[in-house]
Amino acid sequence: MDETLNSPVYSQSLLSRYVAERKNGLCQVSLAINGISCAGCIAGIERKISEIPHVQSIEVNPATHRASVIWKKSGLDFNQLIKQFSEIGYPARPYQTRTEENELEKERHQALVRIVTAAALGMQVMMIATALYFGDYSGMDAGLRSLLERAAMVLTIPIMVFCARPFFVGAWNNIKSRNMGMDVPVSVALIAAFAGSIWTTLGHPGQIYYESIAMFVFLLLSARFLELSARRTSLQNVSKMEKSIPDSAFLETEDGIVIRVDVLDLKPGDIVLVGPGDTLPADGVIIEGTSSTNDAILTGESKPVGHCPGDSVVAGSINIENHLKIRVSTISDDNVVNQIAHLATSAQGKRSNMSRLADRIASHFVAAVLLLATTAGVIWWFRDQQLWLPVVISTLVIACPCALSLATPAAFTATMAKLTRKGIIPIRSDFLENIKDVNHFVFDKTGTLTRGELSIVNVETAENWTRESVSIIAASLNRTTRHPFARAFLKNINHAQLIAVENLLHTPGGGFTGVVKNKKYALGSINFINKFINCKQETKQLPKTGAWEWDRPGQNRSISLLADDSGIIARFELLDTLRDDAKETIGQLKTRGYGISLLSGDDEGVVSDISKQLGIDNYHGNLSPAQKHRHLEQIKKTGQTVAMIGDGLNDAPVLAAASVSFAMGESSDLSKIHADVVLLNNRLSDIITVIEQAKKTVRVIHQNLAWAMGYNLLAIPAAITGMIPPWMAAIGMSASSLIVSFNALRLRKSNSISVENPTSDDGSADPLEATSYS
Amino acid sequence: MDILYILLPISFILVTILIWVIIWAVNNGQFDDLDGPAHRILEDDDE
Repeated sequence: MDETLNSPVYSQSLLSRYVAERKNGLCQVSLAINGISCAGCIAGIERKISEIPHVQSIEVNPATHRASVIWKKSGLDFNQLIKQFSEIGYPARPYQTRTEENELEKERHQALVRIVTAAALGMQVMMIATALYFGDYSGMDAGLRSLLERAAMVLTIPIMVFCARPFFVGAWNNIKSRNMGMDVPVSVALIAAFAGSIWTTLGHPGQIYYESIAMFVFLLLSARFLELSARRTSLQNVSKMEKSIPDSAFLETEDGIVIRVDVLDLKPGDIVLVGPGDTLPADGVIIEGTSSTNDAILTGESKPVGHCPGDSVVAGSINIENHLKIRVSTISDDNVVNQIAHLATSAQGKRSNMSRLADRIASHFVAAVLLLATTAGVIWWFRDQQLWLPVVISTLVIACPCALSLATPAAFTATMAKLTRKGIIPIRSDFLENIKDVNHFVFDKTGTLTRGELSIVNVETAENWTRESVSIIAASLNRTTRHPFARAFLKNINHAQLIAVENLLHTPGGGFTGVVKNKKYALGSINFINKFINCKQETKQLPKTGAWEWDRPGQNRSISLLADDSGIIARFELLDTLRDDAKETIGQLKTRGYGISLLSGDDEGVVSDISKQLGIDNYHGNLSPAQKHRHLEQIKKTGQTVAMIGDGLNDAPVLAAASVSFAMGESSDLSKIHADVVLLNNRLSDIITVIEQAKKTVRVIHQNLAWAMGYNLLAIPAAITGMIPPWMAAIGMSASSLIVSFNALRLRKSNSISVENPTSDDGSADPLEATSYS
Repeated sequence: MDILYILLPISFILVTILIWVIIWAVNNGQFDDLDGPAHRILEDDDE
């Protein structure tokens, strides 16, 4: 069965699912690669594959062992490409979460079995070794010594053949691709130690190293297992998302019959029913029903979000209270969950400069260690023939490039996984390094600092009308539309209070007319209302009821009027509201010493108003994207490094000019977002989370590198001068690996960051929530 | 020390059994989800 897995031939129809077409006849595929054990392998694979004609680029992610290959479709058959991978010793197959996960699970099982076997056998070998040490002091019969040595040898054979196999395979692949990974010295040392021990066991003078071999294999396997765990967590996050979408959906056919269908058969425009407690099968728009959903799977935020007709909802979120009727807007491959999963995996597939540098250094390091060990062996051969073998083994074993080749990728993977879990989707990984240089944050306004959705901030009514009654009439008129204005009206209203509207008529760009409780009403812009009333009364002058000036200008606010037959009865002022955590985040950034600017295309008056509220001194309104770009360049010219936060769609060129860019995840078309990081929760405070996490990651990597440098500088000379016996070298190297791996995995822990849950100062800050619970 | 001729084989057999049991447990999925069961006890089961 493994045979067919390693070199399967992929049919065209199957390929179309994996291979993505690109411009200029290029295509791209994600591959899961087997057999990678260290950074050296990756450099080798990248070199070998990029040498194949027609291959444009290849990038292998050391953390997930996944590659992204871009090649010229006309020049190279996909199946040939796959064959090339098998030929250099790293079988690959197109990546799909499920197979990848199964593989990883299998790899994990094998790793566990290897570790436990090495531990169990190692204990026996140690026990025998203890007996032999005592024998050295108190004297031991030669026959008995020989028996014990042979027993130890027999116990070590499975360790060498089975447990240490991954090291040998890795080393063999390294040698084949002429690239030095850490498996090479490890394997050479293991083989030398084992051969030397057998030589002694068979009656020649010398030492035995069985216990060192057992211990070394066990500890090194454990360190690798930690790295594997980091990969597993990051993969589980993604596949958890993908798996959250149900397999089947309730489809309402044109005849009004409800049938159960496969989710893959859903088409845009289909109408599906979702019961309370069910998971949404597809992205869509609510056409009937009011309920709230839990989007935790996407955003990590378990607070329910209220929805009313006209709202967009995403697949994978859980419907909480009421039945919903949804018109499907995108099919399963393009839905938000899959887009996020895709973004997250492709970010992990891209390696940061720091990992690349670590790879290169590790490769040189290993080559240097091999050279040193050989030199030391030759010198000791002439000085003391008894010692040349232990010195060579110690030198090979003690050198530890783990901080580079194991721990750095593990640190990045752990960080990415943690951010993804919080609804912060990293799209490029370099930002983790870049953000530490940032000292100026530039914000966009609409949709970034503000919600990008209108709220009613002021209601004035004519005499004899209460705010509540006009609000309910206005909301009822708006009930069926999706216009942002409509949302503003519906937000503050208990949906049970809505009144049925007859003869509802919507004039696009104008407003609504409809009959509520046998009375005709109109809601809309001043012009629209003007027309409505003039038609009725055939007068040019609009009547003024009472003393209030309903027609005064809006002062940066949008105005909607409600009128009945007799005249205007209410005036609504609508305004884009600030996000709950905008002020806190800006404050936090300022206390941390970052410069803050606000660049907006919006009216100067609105911008200055908001800047004053938030305490931003440096603000500019009325900017076109090109002008925003110029402003950003100006800030950069003053020697500052800029991070930009925008909506990711309209201000893409400005975002691209910044060193680090954040986009709010408001848009449902995530694939079009151009930014380093997408904040799915639309929480500005996540910026601070990212800053903190990036700092931690870089700190951990630096700690690891500092440790590795100190350790190797002390240990390698000591080993070369013969001060360290092989068993001590094995402990030293393994301990060092475990230390750096554990240190990297610390990043996975979700210890709280200062502003994890920004508390809104006002309990009713989210009126939608109030709605959904009422 | 002739007892070693019996004890050594016994220790070999014990190790073999131990490894076999672990392999069985791993392949049986005993180590697949180390966090889930701890949380599951807090969930209500629907009869």
